[in-house]
Amino acid sequence: MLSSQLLAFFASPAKFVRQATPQQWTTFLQQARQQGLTARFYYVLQTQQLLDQVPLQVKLHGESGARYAQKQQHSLYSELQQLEPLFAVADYPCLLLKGAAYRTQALAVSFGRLFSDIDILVPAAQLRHVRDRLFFYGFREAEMTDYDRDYYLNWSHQNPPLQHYQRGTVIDLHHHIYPTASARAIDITPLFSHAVNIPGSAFKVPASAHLFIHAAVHLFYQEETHKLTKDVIDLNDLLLEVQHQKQLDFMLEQAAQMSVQSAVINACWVLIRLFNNEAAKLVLHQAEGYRHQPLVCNLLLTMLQGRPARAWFARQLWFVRGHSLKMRWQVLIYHSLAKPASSLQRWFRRLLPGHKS
Amino acid sequence: MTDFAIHTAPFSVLVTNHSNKLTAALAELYPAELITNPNPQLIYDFCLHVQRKWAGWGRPFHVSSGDQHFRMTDSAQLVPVFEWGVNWCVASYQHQFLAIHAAVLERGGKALIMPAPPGSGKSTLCAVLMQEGWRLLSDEMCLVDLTSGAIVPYVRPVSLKNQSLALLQGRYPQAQIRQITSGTTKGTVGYMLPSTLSWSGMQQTATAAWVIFPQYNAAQQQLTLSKVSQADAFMHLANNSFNYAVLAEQGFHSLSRLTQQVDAYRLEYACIEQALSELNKLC
Repeated sequence: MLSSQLLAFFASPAKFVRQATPQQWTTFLQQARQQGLTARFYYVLQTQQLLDQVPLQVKLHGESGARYAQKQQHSLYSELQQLEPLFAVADYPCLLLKGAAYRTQALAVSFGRLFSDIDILVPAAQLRHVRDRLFFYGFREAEMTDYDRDYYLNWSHQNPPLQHYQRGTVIDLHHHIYPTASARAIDITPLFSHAVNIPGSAFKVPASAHLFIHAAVHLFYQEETHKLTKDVIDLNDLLLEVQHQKQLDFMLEQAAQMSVQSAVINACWVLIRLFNNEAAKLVLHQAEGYRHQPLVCNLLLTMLQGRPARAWFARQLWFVRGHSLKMRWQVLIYHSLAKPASSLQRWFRRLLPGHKS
Repeated sequence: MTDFAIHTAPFSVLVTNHSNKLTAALAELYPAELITNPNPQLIYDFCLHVQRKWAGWGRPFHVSSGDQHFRMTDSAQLVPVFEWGVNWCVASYQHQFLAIHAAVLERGGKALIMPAPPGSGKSTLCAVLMQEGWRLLSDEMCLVDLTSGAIVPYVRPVSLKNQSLALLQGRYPQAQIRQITSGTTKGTVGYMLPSTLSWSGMQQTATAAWVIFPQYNAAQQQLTLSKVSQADAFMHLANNSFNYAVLAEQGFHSLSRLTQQVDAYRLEYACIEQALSELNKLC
């Protein structure tokens, strides 16, 4: 089980702290580091007043992680400050997504949460304009093959990642929350129309309900599994935030409007199984006519909690499923053939005399 | 599988290990009581995995911490790669101390800190001073307690490279230099065992008293020792720190306190004898 100790901790911190053996703490520290959740567990311990009950070593590593997370958050504010003038003149909405959005709203999920880039969503029609403006602000696209670049521009939901030449900051500039190569059409206009202003800033953030929907779509309609534990822990905190802001009904309405009910319902079902999330129970109760997808949900639980061989097999199925969802079959077939062909072509070119790498 | 744990205070490392050679090599470098079988009753700070995996044409050793891959290596270079792997864990993940890339030694309770980038002769000078009776705290990482300002030892074998190996062997024939490996990314690397005094004081902190920025320069005719202002010392220490930027305000306060309590100098030398004599006069 990849992150069994982590899941047990986040499901019931007090119980875990009471029962954990030294061996389990060792594994826990390792898993937390791996998933970037060291600072996060520290803030949970602090909020639940459990810091005095954990071994000193665990507390010290938690503090270490919290220091790093705090530094990242300062860097985020500093970077957003740099970007303000660029977006202040925009006459279209510019939304922060994921980690940056959680942090600027000071949501519980953001305390100690690490992130590697700043995600920004702009209307599709403005993507090139914003990208060109970012070039003038010192951002450049990372080096990649022509094939990968075309893939980003034609089939994904974002521009290739943009990195500042000096500060190293990476911006993922999105025009959608889901790849355009997919047969699934997700209407994201509600994200813009219900976006919340950040006081004193040119940026906006999606409503909490939309933040949850985005995270659920990201988890259930794609193939990524490398931060699975962190993703479900994020979802757990986000759903409690949606409940806190009394947006559970709104979230269900929006999920229907955006045609992403399956992601939301599946997420809630999994959150009940893993964390006994009360808000998730309410959502499933409200959405009586809409059932979760047992196969999909169990696949996810197997990846999180299953024995290594079963978890590995589940990951392979998830990978295939994710790709088949995010690409129309014609695109998927083309991509499956063209991507290896492009790699092979580059390999042969390197063998040609006079080639400079 | 010969899993083991290394207890080098203030950090312990649990190692999942597929190499019998590594176990035997580390037994040469560390005292027997510091390498034990994993004890389920202890919490380990870091976990390192040394595993053989298929990688293209062969099955080299992969050194990683969980999913975080560090290096791949063949069996011949496993020892240095493992030692660097432990340093990498500490430099990347610990922020409970202000960590400066520096050698640290102690005499009479007072610590001499020698921060420098690789190639400045820091480890050579450190090894020489240890052979001359100073207590080694670390040849790689100066750990500053954020609350008390004390310098916390992190005693490990002293990593010596290239010409310094012959120099030390020639100068101190009784010195124990083990596991000499050639052809690494840093050239030939060998490990000098810490003195008995250093191992026995591995949990005994010291008070920072001197900061010397060493610079070995073969073309130097005469040794120069020049005083460094507090402001300059602060900036050089910050630039040599692994986590000054992460610690923010705490890092600033910690480094300010350290800078104010030490005398700082720049030492440019070509002859180790001269350097030693100058340091003995100064400290």
